[in-house]
Amino acid sequence: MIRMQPSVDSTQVIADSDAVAVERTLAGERDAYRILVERHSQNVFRLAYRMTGNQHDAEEIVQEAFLRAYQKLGQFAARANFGTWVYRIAANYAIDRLRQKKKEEARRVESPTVEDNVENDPISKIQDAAPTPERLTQNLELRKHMEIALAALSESERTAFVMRHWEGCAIEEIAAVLKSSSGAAKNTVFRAVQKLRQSLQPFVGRTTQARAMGTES
Amino acid sequence: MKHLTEEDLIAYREGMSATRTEIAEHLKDCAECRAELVRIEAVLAALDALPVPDPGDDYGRRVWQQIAPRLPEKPVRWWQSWFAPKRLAALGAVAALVVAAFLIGRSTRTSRTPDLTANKNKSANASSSSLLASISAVRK
Repeated sequence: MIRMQPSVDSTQVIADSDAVAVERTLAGERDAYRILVERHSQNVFRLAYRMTGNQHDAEEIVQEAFLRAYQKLGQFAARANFGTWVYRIAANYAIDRLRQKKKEEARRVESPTVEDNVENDPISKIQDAAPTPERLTQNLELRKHMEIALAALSESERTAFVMRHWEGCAIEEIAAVLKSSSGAAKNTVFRAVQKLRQSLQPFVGRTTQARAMGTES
Repeated sequence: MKHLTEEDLIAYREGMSATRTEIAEHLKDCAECRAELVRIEAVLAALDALPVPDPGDDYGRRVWQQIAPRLPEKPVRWWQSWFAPKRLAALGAVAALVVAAFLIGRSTRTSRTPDLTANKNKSANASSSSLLASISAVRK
């Protein structure tokens, strides 16, 4: 899991100061909300990016999540954790956007050209430390396949996988976002990993094999 | 030896297994299941290498600048949301529909009663005239 787990003490301190900021915002001190936005934006961005795979979409999700959280702040229970709450709002909005995008893409008749794909792919913009032609081709190919495999997951599967594997969220948290039971949320994580494995195993195997044979520098 | 299922291994890898100790014990002794777990981990490790762009240290400040002009002066408390104009309008519309349905129901019930009597009379007249017709036909 990539997410750095903060210590229990520091999490409690942040949650307490979040609660104070929420109370001050509700009392009419709008600037107190700024503290919450500045504190949680990076985390929400990371979640949104992993769910959409697109920086522009992720930034829009972050803004919308904080706007919605502000509008619903009166319904926020002070005992809850603001970070988790805004995270949930962002995940729900990201699911809506993914659904909408899939519908739009289904409506589109012509498929994008290969050149367009390479240009829009954030992975293709990454500089490799040692870009030998073979390695570059292999990495780009694998990254492309990973993007395709992630995009092929259903919205629920992608959400469950991102929240569990990358963000280290509790199953109950995932279940709340998916509006399902904990058992169903667990199954969604299984399905996501199984599908990713099915799509990526041949390519990962090839890269691992190449590495073992010493053909990759 | 009974091998672990793919689900067992995924649950173990993702920290969702209720039988973690048993699985760890099995993995110690079973090279086949260990190899399967390595294959699952290889896929997940490859996915972990997918980069997330760094939006920058001042990202939170930029988000605030973008949303601040769009925020209302003060967020509403949960009980205040019941008095929001949209909610009040919806509530009014529902109340008006209920009243209208009640009034329509009343007026149709009162106007339907004589209709029913008239219909009954009509059908009684029709049946008696057909009876007379059949009697006269028999007589002929």
